[in-house]
Amino acid sequence: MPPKLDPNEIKIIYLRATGGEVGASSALAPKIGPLGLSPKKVGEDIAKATQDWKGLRVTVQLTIQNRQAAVSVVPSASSLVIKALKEAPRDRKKEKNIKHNGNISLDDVIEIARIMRHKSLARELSGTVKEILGTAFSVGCTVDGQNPKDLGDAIDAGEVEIPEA
Amino acid sequence: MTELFIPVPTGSVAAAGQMPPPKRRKPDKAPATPIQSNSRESVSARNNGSTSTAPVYHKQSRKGRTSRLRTAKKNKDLNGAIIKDQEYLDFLEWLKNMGCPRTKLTLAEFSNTGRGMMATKDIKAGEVIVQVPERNLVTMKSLQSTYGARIARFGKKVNSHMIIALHIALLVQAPERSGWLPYLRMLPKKFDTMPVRYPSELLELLPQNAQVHVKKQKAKIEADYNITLDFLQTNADLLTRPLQYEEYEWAWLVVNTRCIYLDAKNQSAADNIALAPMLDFLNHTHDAKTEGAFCTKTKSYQIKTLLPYKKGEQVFINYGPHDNCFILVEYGFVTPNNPYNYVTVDNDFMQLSIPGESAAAKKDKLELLDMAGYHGDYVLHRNDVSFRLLAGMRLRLVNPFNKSSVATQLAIAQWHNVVNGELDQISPENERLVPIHIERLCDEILALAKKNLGILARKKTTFTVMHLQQVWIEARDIILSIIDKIHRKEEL
Repeated sequence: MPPKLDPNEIKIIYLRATGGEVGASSALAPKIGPLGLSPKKVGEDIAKATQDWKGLRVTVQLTIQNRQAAVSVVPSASSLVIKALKEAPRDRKKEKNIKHNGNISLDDVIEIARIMRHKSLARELSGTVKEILGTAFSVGCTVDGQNPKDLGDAIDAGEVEIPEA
Repeated sequence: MTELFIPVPTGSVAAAGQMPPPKRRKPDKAPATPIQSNSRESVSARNNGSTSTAPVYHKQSRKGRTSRLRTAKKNKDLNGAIIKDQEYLDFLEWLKNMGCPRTKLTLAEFSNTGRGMMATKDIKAGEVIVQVPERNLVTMKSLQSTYGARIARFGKKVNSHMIIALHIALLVQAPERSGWLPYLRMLPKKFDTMPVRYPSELLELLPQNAQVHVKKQKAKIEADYNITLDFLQTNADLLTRPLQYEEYEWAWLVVNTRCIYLDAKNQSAADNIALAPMLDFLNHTHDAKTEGAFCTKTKSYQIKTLLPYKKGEQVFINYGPHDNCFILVEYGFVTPNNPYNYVTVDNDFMQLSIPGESAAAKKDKLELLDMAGYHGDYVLHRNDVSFRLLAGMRLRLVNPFNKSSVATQLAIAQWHNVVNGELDQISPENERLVPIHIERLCDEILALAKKNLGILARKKTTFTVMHLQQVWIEARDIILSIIDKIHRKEEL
């Protein structure tokens, strides 16, 4: 197709993968095999690109342009919160129903909120921070030793200051 | 005036094609080979006769030595020669009157790409480099008032490309009336570097996939021309003289080499094209990072660069993730170090004879590949063999192949498992044979590349020959990288 700057020339595939691990190529093959990409090689590329996220489930974005794939990690609130907990990497196959009962600082939460800012519909950063606190609650950890829900109420009441941006 | 715009018929095309590359002004600057010579080259080649590469603006004013020295100092770090001829000045004036905002770009002649846009000031990353207002875009929608009713009366299916090409051809027939004269004068006069205009002895030297591509393009131009003639029969009042094939082909190629993607709602995918004056002078490189979209706020098509440019550098945009064969056939140039290059081995794969494989077995296998969606599109990249080719080769190497036997059925099941990523290989023996036969395919392409490079070396050096040479040198390097990989016994 001749037109320049045609956005349809780029295919984007999203998939969930465990960070740092080479997944089964059977999950990738039906999607990318017919495009001429080797499932094994792309699987290895994904493992390499997700080294920072060892043992966490992350969303991976495959950008495919003219039979070549580039791998990038899509940040998600829950994986960022779990990453901030700095838990020792564990074998997902052996341990089931993992509970995250650690603690993160409010600064961590604000940092995560900044990363997720572009995805959030909140008008101010404090709104995004409250969203991340909600995620922390669902993950099951505490923030600054408090229940994330209480901290959210404190932000509403103006007891805790959140920077503008 | 009108004389200028009539595309020259095929006879005189060769003359311009044979023109030697423009002389460099300073021998120490930039690579010598004009690798990415655009279709605009023909224009510059024509200009070279009278103006050579010296900047024209000196001639226009009577300035003294100090002024010349100052200009020389100012232009010291420019990568190309700025073009400021009357045609371009008229064009700028016209753009201004049409409401185009000023840009930080100016037209210049570059030794490696021919005409392109140069930054006149530093450009930051994320800056909008060009804005083309809606009224300047030529689209199906903008032409609706002129042709809409006529098309509706015509009743047959038409596409945007065809109508925009017709519009350009008609403008050229009566340029003074249209008000688009300054733009028309900036268009290339000929498209000699386009493979569709190659003489047949050069056409044969293209890689097989490019030859097929050219044939398709040619058929499309002819089909569009025939529908256009049909359309003009009932709308003869549009014409000032009968529309010749050469004229239409020229207009069609103008649209093909210069159109951008513009999402026009409620139309088929191929109809989302537009011509955007000014924007079409920007050249392509694969590493330029640009975003182009219609901005509803300013009601204009904008291109943003995500890379910064220094004053005096050529500004590029990215036409898309294309390999050199595609760029050559669609736009008429090639770029150096293109990472998207590949070599197609479809025909060689189909014709490859494998010991112990009967004709019937081959037919069955190709059918099986077709059913699984792995038929054709077998390519080699630098250091990389396409998964499709590996899948095809693995099946071809299942021998003996007898559909009714249990062993073959088992092998087919294994093959499906390999393709779906459940297994790594059909059998160790099969896996051992795959690189051997891929090397045989490589040898065939390598021999072809060497033969064609030999033929090209004996030809007179023109842009066309240089483009073909580059395509084959790249193909040879890709093949050598694969053969090297096989010899090092690395996994494919």
